[in-house]
Amino acid sequence: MKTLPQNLILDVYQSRPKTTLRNIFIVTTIIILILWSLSVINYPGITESSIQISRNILKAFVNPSWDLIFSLEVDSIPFLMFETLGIAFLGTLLGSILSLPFAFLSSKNIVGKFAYLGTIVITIIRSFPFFLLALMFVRVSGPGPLTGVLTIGVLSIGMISKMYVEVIEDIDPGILQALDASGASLFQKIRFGIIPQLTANFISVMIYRFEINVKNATVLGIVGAGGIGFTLLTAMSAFRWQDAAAALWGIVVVVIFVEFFSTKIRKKLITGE
Amino acid sequence: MIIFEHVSKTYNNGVRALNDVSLKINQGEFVAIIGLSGAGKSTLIKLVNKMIELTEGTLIVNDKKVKDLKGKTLRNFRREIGMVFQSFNLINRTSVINNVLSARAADMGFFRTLLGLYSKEDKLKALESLHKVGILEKAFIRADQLSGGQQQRVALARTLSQNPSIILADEPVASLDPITANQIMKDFQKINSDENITILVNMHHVDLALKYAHRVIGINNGVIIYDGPSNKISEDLLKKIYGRELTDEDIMFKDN
Amino acid sequence: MKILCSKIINIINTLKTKSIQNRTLVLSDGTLVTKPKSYTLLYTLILLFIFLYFWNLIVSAFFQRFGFQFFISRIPNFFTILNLMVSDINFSYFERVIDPLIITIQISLLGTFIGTLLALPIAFLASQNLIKNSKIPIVIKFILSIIRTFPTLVYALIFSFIFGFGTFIGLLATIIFTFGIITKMMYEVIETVDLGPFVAIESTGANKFTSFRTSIIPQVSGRFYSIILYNFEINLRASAILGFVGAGGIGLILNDQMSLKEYGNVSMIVLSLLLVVIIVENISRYVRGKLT
Repeated sequence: MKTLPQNLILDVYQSRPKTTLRNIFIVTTIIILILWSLSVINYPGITESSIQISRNILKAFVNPSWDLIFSLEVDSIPFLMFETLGIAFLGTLLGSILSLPFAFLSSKNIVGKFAYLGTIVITIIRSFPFFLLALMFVRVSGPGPLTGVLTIGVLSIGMISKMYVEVIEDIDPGILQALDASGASLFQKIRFGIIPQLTANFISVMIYRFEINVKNATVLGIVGAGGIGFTLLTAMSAFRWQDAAAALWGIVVVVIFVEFFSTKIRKKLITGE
Repeated sequence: MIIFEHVSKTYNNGVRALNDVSLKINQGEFVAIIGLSGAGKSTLIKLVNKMIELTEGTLIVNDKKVKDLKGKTLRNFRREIGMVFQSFNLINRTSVINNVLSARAADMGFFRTLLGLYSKEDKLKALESLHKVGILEKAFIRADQLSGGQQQRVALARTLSQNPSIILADEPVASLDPITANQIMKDFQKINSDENITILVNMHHVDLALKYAHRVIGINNGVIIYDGPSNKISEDLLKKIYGRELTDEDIMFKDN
Repeated sequence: MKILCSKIINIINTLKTKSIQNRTLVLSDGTLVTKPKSYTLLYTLILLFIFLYFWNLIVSAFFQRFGFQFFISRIPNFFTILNLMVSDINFSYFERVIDPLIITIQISLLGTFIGTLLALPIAFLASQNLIKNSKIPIVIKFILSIIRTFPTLVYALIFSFIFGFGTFIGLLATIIFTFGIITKMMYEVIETVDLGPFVAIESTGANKFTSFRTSIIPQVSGRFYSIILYNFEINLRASAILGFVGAGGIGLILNDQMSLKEYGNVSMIVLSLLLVVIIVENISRYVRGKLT
């Protein structure tokens, strides 16, 4: 009866789920979208001047303005990087504090169905173009680092709240049940059941956001809110490539430092202390 | 045919896992390797398809010197040898049939592999392999939704679709319950007798080894203590292989 | 000199033993338990110090120059603008917004697509569990972290001097940014993948590429699509800024209207962007749900 298994196998083969049509559809849609998007790009081509400028920029990278890098004056790179770090630090702190109410009010395990409203508010805040926010704050505190702090503070609410919500919704209710069973009061439950679970993760979120905010703070300067971005913009606009390169080197060094320590500390938070 | 000639394996950390091992396995034999954990069973099996390299001696498999194989010749060589693992090593998020088909990918060109385009012939062969191990009806189900025994069968079907001449199994039933373990061993037996494929299994359950394999090789500390028919092995010899009395852990069915 | 050294060593040892004594508890049956050293207080103090330094640097400096009252009096400005944006919202401006908005979407789409294509092979090369016994992954990861230090705007700025203004530099900046982030997220996923199936497929005689394609890609594809969609969302939001350096999209008109103090138009632009983001987010959530 060798033919019986063969028929059986052929039957199973015919009844296989046929996903080819769906796959072709998806791939075609993507291809159409890509081709459509290509139409809007006008390639300016590589001109004489662009080669010249690229060469100048590359040369400047190898030989930046050393005097700006090694001085400690108000407009030197180290000072500006410290300022940028400060903007990121205070801004992240501000954002973390402001996010707390938003986060708690958007967590399903705290407010139930109303969490949806909170999420919408957070999405709106997140979608607010951040340099618009900067321009608005400039009307309050002028073009300077304080504006940067305020902008980053409000901007961070979006991302930090979202991450806080994830942490909050991740709370293990088992610990609360155990505390309940041992007769703990509401305050004790919050203090010993919820807060320990939250702090390590909240701090991890803050550090992660700080890392991103350092990069944001550099950009803010370009929009006029203090920090190294402003120097970068002015230097480039005046074709002072070596000053610009110095600024870029400053950014690279600081960001890599921050990233390195941030990853180390966050790993320790999750696995160690 | 598998021929070990004075083969030794010393790992980088100084451990001498195999010491002057010589043996010959003919096509179509069903051989079980038994011994304590760390005795060298796993090492012996992995040397056959060059998952690890020997340090001394000569190993000849299917008329090829394993030491000389590398790159393309090694890959072609491995096509003829199937391997079954203790942890099944299935691709969990895909269907059963995709798992079986993955064994045929080695033959396909770059673009077909990239796009995952298996031929109709490939798919039929895969279904046939699944049928031979008795789980044809699970062909399109996601692999991680199957039980342990069924997953190991998928792994078996995967090796079958290679049309191998040898199947190596490294503790294939260690993660399975006794009843399923027996079923899988029966599957090995069936494959061995139906298709004349050499089966080389290593396992730490003595009673299963003795029940299903024709020939048993007992290893202790990298040295072969016993190499002969499974029905001729004695209690004393078993003690020598394990270096101690057998415990409950070495037996699958406690009421024997 | 030697006496000084041994004195210092003595002092350190006494401090150590004292510290252990302070941390040691005696249980009722006489057993000694030593608690491990806790650095929490130290860390908190360091943080406090850093905080005070920065506060002084930025906030106090500001108040010293302009005065606290001045600051308070200017806060309403922010809310005035916000108010104007809401009250004067100009819906008819939408027809002027549509074209730049579509350009923004197109740049983000294309940038994400090309950036991802470039990221895939590099992520593969950067995974230490696939490329063993080699320095290549480390070198690649280092280069990537340097590429990632600059946000999109900085790249766009640099490119604007080389290629001039236009959508092309917006695209380039998006590609580089996407490339940097996606490579990192991808190699992080690859490095946590189960290599068992990879070994199994290699044992059937497949080469490294085939083993990777059949055993690893199915494990990670769900997460990959998730990462790509998430990145597309980020790019949409980021592209609003690109217009600031003339890289096309709504950033340009946003900046213009802002300088013209046409807050009604500004809020319309923001609203339109918000709309697109919400739609994309929902599609993305739907697709991501179907992938798992």
